[in-house]
Amino acid sequence: MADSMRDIKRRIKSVTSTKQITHAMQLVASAKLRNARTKADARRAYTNYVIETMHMISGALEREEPSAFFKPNGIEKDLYIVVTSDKGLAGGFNSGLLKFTAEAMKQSKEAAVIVSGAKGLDYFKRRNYEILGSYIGESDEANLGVANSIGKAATTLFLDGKVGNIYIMYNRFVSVISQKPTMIKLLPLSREELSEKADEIDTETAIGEYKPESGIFGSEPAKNMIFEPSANYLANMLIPSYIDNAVYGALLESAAGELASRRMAMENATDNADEIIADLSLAYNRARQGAITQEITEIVSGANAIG
Amino acid sequence: MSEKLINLKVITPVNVLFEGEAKSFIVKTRGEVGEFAVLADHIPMTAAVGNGILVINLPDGTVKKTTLFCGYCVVHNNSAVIIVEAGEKPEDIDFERAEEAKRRAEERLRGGEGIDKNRAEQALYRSIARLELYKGK
Repeated sequence: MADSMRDIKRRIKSVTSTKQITHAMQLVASAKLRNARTKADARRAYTNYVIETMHMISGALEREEPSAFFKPNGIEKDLYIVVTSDKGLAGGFNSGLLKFTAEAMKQSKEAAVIVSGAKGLDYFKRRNYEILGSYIGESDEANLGVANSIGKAATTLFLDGKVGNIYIMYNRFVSVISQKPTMIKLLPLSREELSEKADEIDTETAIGEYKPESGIFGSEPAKNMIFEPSANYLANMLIPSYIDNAVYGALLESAAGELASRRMAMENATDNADEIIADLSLAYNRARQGAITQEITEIVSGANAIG
Repeated sequence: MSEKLINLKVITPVNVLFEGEAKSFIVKTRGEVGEFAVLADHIPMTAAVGNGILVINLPDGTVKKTTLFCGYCVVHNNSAVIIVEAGEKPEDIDFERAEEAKRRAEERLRGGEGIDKNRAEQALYRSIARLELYKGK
């Protein structure tokens, strides 16, 4: 009896320390999540301006040579930029996205990937995919520098005629309890898209929840705008930075999703630990009660035997 | 006589560097367009912005400066938005890091063959802008 009591006590202790860890991870994820949402707000305002300028420039472009970003280059190999997390313990966050990506890749004759996050890199390495770039170590921070180098690499691959279509695959942060695998085409752009498209990356903008402020031009459309040095020059500068920004947006959405997913997973783990501790405490008290009863019975029967 | 003012906003993907009214502002950058100044009632314009410094003349006579890295400036109806990939206020500049970056960029440019000249030049311009702003504050 004494042995089983000691065992139970030991288990309670171990579950309690696990619970402390999961609880701490839950708090860390909550704090980082708040941070990621603030960054997403800053990006949303910036992106809104970039898109508004693109719409404006697209009107002026008609008179000039169309830029290379609009022309499909006829290459059959498609590039998928896949945004996953570095660490696990985040529920079905990565597996859902990777399954979704594998399904989407069936439409391409050939596929290559650029991966962010160790989980995705492992997956594509194991399956012998052509990996044109990988970025590891900051999946829950959404680093702007990383976003820019992914964007530059992808844009260069497209312009050099190494890949045809470029898609970005990431988990959209729908709410703290739900993330949705999402696929968005980055290149080539179409003229129509450039003059009408809104930001598709950001959830709040995509579902129409975000209402931009009056913007650069207010209610008045821009008339007689002059372009320095030229609209084409500006478009060629603006489009790569738009691509970088889209990648940054996807990294942010994914980071928020990863953190929310981890917070949920850790919250469940903490609740589960509480339950186990309650059950074990009950078992411990029963065992203790049993031991006491037995001792009393022994003493009483001993006394009776003497008396 | 009350002076006309420009409503200026400077934004990067991570923050809003400046938001408010200004008498005028000067974009001093190295790039395709070079230096230009904008006063009230400027004609509508969209201009590329390279790497350099932005000088803002505030209505109360004081001057505010920030660095600007790569982007463009839209002027319309006495409001202006400068949209750049990055920029910083003088107090956020890391002097030693900027010096180190300048030294490295110069070394690479001297190295000649086999380097990405454009990239090294951009890095050099960025570090020069940071150093100028840091010393000028």
